[in-house]
Amino acid sequence: MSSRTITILGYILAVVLLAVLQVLSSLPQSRVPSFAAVIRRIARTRSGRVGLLTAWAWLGMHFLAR
Amino acid sequence: MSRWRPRIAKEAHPESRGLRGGLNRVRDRLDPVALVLLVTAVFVWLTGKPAHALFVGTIGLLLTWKTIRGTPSPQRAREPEPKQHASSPASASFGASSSLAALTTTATLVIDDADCESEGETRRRTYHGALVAGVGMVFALVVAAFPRFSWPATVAVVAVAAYAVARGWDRQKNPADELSASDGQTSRAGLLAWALAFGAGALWELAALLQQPSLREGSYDHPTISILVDSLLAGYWGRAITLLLWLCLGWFLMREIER
Repeated sequence: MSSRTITILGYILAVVLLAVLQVLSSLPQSRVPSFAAVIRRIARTRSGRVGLLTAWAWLGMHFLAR
Repeated sequence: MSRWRPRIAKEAHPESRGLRGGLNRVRDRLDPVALVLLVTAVFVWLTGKPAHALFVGTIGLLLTWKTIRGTPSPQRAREPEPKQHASSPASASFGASSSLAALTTTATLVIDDADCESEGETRRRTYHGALVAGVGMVFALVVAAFPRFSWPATVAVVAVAAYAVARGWDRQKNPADELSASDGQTSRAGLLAWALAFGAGALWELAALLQQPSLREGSYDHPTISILVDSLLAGYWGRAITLLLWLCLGWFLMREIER
């Protein structure tokens, strides 16, 4: 298995892990919060809100802006 | 009793502690998010993206300034902030209902008003949602027509990003929705699981980045996500779909933040 394949598999694994957490959060009596609940939790403070939105803004700029 | 006096005097006059006291105050008020943004800005600058570094760094500096200058005293922190509640569109109806309730003397009027408001609010949200979706689609299709990293694409993306950050900046949550029922059931371990999953992904990306020949040159053997999506973003439809997904993520974040 090449280094490239291993690197790509790592990304896929991370995405799968996030998807599993989201599925777990939807189970009844689950103690795992949903992604939306995590966002709401972070967004309680100004720093959290601004940090979240800046991370999102940077994603768009990184991929598309000069 | 006499043991207490010096300690109280110290806490009552922190200014008198000089340089050390000042440093301690800065440390206490230092915002970790602002610090992360400032460090990120430095690294983004090193990778040859001064416009991105300026954007992230400016927000980091504003947040630092606001944190150091704007930390309210305990007395001020207890005071209500009606102006900020009213400035938020999401809480506008909340403010209107509160005003009405204060003015009317019968509960019937308030209940009638709440029903009408609920219907109106649902209709308004549906219309608003359709409008935002339409504008987002047009935005993605138009901006994707410009080449990647061109100035028109940069201005369009930065304008939307700046608007979202500015809107999230002054969002003041109502005390009533501070902790929803679903939030109350979440465990610390659950939050830690999310943090670990995102952290693992970020570290994996960082490891790939550090194995590149340089910060500005990609590696075939250890591709970062940016390198992997380069071919996708080279085409019009790839850019349009990516822009649309980016806007959807932003809309989702704003919706959860303003909920």
